[in-house]
Amino acid sequence: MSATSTLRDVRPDQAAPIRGAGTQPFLVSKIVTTAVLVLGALYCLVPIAWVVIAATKSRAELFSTFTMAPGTGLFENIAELFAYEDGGFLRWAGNSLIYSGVGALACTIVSAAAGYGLAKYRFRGRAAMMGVLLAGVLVPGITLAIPQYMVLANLELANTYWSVLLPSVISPFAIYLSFIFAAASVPDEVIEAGRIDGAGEFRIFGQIGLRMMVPGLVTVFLLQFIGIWNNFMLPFIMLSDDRKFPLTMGLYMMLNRGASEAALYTLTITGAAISVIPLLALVLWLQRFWRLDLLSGGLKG
Amino acid sequence: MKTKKWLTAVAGTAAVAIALTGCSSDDGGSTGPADDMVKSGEPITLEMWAWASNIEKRVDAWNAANPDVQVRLTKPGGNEDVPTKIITATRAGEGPDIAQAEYGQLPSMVISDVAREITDVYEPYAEKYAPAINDLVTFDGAVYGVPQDIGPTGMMYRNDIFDEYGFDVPTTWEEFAEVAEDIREAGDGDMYIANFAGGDADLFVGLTMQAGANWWTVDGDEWKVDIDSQASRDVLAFWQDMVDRDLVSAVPGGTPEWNSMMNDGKILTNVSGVWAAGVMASIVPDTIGKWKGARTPEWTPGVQTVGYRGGSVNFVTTSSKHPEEAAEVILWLNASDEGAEGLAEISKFPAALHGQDSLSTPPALMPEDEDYWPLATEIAKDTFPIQWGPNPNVAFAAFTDEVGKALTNGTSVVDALPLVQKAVVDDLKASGFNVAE
Amino acid sequence: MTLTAQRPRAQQKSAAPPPARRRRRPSLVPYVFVGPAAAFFVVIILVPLIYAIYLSFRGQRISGGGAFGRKQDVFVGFENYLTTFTDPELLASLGRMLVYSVIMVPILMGSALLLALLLDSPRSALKGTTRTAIFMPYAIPGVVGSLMWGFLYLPSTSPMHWIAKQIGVELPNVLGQGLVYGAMANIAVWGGVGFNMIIMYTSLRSIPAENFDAARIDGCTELQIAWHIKIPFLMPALVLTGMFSVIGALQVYSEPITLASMTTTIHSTFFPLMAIYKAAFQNDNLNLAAAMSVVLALGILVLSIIVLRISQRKTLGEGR
Repeated sequence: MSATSTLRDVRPDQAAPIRGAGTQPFLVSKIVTTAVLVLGALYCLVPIAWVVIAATKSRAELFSTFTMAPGTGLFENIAELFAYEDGGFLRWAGNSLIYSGVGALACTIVSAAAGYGLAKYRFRGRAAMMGVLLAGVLVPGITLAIPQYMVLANLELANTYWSVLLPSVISPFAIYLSFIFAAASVPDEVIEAGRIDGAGEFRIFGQIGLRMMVPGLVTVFLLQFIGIWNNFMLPFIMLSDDRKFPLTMGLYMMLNRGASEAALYTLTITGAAISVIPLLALVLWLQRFWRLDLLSGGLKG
Repeated sequence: MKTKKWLTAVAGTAAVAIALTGCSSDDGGSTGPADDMVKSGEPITLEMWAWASNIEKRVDAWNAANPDVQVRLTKPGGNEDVPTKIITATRAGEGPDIAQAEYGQLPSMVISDVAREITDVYEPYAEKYAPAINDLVTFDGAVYGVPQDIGPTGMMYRNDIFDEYGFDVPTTWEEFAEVAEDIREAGDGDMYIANFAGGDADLFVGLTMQAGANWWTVDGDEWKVDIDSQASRDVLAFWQDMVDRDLVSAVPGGTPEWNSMMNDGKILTNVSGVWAAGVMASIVPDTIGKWKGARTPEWTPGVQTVGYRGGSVNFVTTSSKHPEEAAEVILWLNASDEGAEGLAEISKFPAALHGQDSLSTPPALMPEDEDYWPLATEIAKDTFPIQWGPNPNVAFAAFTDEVGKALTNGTSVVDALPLVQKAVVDDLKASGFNVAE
Repeated sequence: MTLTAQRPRAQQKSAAPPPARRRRRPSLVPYVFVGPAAAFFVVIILVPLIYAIYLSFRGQRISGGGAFGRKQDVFVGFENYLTTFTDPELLASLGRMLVYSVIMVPILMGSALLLALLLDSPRSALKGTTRTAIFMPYAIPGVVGSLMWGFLYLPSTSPMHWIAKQIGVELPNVLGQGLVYGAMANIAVWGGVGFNMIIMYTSLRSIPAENFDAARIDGCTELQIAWHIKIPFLMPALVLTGMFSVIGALQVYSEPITLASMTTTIHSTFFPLMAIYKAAFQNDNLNLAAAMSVVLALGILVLSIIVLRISQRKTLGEGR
């Protein structure tokens, strides 16, 4: 694959030996830049640290001890969490996996095809389609939620797994990202070469185009997975059977149990802490596929 | 070989999808014609949406005794948006057969044509309830729900701290203000007699009734909204005065802030529905055994009548394909002697009189207070009849908003009343109701 | 759309000749590629959208006798739109939304850009770790993130307040008037900076190294390189992330709704989307919610077009 030859993550940065007029001493600027990055990282991590620490507190400790001091109730909390609603938590986690995994996969495939089509072909209605896609982002999800429910109810699909999966497949943002990745990573020459060799359009897409888009598609998958995992509004309106709820709804239910019931803060926090783990693991694992030449593709010097 | 991998992924997705269709095939109502009030002969499954804690135990009891009519319970959470969910689902034909609603939510179920009329089958059970309770589920002379539990207001107080500092237990609101001063001066000066929160709108309907207010009244088919009455103003002025003199804290209820203060013994009383004692144990576990129950302070000395806060009904939906069986279930669950006793067992304060009599164990929050439930039963005998208008949800939301704004801006909460009045009247008119000026 | 990748124009012109040279009828192939997406779009977005617009011209009105009539679905013309435009509360919420956006978007974009540039700078260390850490908040659902920050803001549970109390300082109530905008913007920035940073960073990484070698040999400082080379290069990524950030700011919802239950400063119609949610989900007035949404969406659309036109003009105007 000739696409990555001149990228800077392949060659080492060569800034060190070159000094120009007026540059600061190297070490000071290194400390400053790194310090800012570390500050940013800490800022991002502190609330997450809070959640983990709070999850270790028993119910009595949650509101009475210093916020950042670990508590003693972690195992009780976890046990109580898993026992809640007859093992509901694990069921909800499984549901989230299904919705996010299948939904993100389907979305990636659909978006990849659409992005490729939009980037590599000129056809009537292309500009209109792109405009309409953008318009689709503008309408708040809240507005569409109940009408979507009505449409799916008419199709007899309300309160089924489909009612959450189907809307998760379409994401204008994912299509836009795929469009950018397709345009950047798949050079027209390669496609043309394939045509000259006599390959059909779909074969070119499957064997050449998709392969070149993989790093970008990993991003699309990851973003959509996280988006579906964290989505609340869609499952809220579509599902009424708590056995089908994803984690977001389970956590919501624990926090909002009606005027005459107590909010289960401890369980919600423990649940939130645990529900974040798969996402973080996914991010860390997928990072290596996230080659940094996402938008470069066929660039040559 | 990437193509192969890709194709496998697609095939895998399809397989999962097909498998899922199997998972989801048996929900939603059956597609046969509606059997209006005709018993069917084969086992049927009813969908029930309820969020009352431990209600599944009662549902299990029914299911065990009635193999031909099985009830499947779903808990859709309990926030203010659940009524809309019920309404939307019923309109789309995907709703449950039975649902739970609070008394203040039942009117919107009626006007949205979601709650089914059950006057005839309810008739024999009417005597199980106090007349005021029957009124709560009757609209235009027809009955639309079966009362489950009720919440006449009572006051819980920190018995241990009151004893320690020698505070008197107030019996009137005037005394309440006096004791409030004593409490502020005691100890480290960080204790409050109570918390005042705008989110307690439904509580204030009852508190203003003590002063003689009546937020909604109806004459024929004309509504009169009287939220901004002198009585309401007096009650809110009382609380504003308490806030001004720093005699009560003013944090939103149920928040981490409030939880923290309750656990630390910074808030010493809680005026709410008598069911609160059952619920609070899980919120303030450190304080179990330290509370005692008492009557709500009187507004007019000698007048012990109080209002309500909270409490739920069960109703049959208009989209139910088995309305007669559904009605049977909810009548058993709530009105029958067996059902009422069962509700008492799961720590509800039953609306049915027999249930109230059968309450034996003190609530979890005050296991030593043997008098709690007997006192609650006495309180329940002397309550104001509440006339809920068609839009209590609008009133509560406006109340919470306007009181919140007043607290934030430092203006008087009394000024919230005309704004709430306007919001409620405008909403009624916009919907097409007749409203007296 | 100008959101294509940074390919030098010369190269694009010399790209492969279009399929028309093969002298077929207009090919159906592209339609097959975009077909599934289009089909889903129609069913999931377009049809509900049209239905919502239809609903905006209807309303629920009581009919039937007695004190409790029944709601009927009737045609009401522009009544819902009239209500939308004349409701002072809604107009106030629009104003608050604009204040929030003006605070949030620059901070978000500025932070993301700064961090992306720092990550790209040859001078910094610990890049992998910090990059991952900064991206992590994106994986947290909005409601959970707001809950976390709520605990960190509220005086009785906040470690900051505790520390301040020890040293005798009185911290202002972050959830009080005025400051509450910053409090919410903080949550949004916290959650979004990683996502935007990654997009900008990957865009930066695709700049060919030759561009920099020349500059460095000429003696430019890193700062000058950043300003004159990197940022102009980033324009498309900046426009993309900028637009979606603005749209996100205008549709702000999960931060205020979670904080609303913790403080009296935020009431139920503080921002437009909260008002829409309230109408749809709490007042059973989907018709009004639909009308408000249409107005809001049109407003955002107009704003987006203006922003795009300006950025297009700027990009073209630089005569690249």
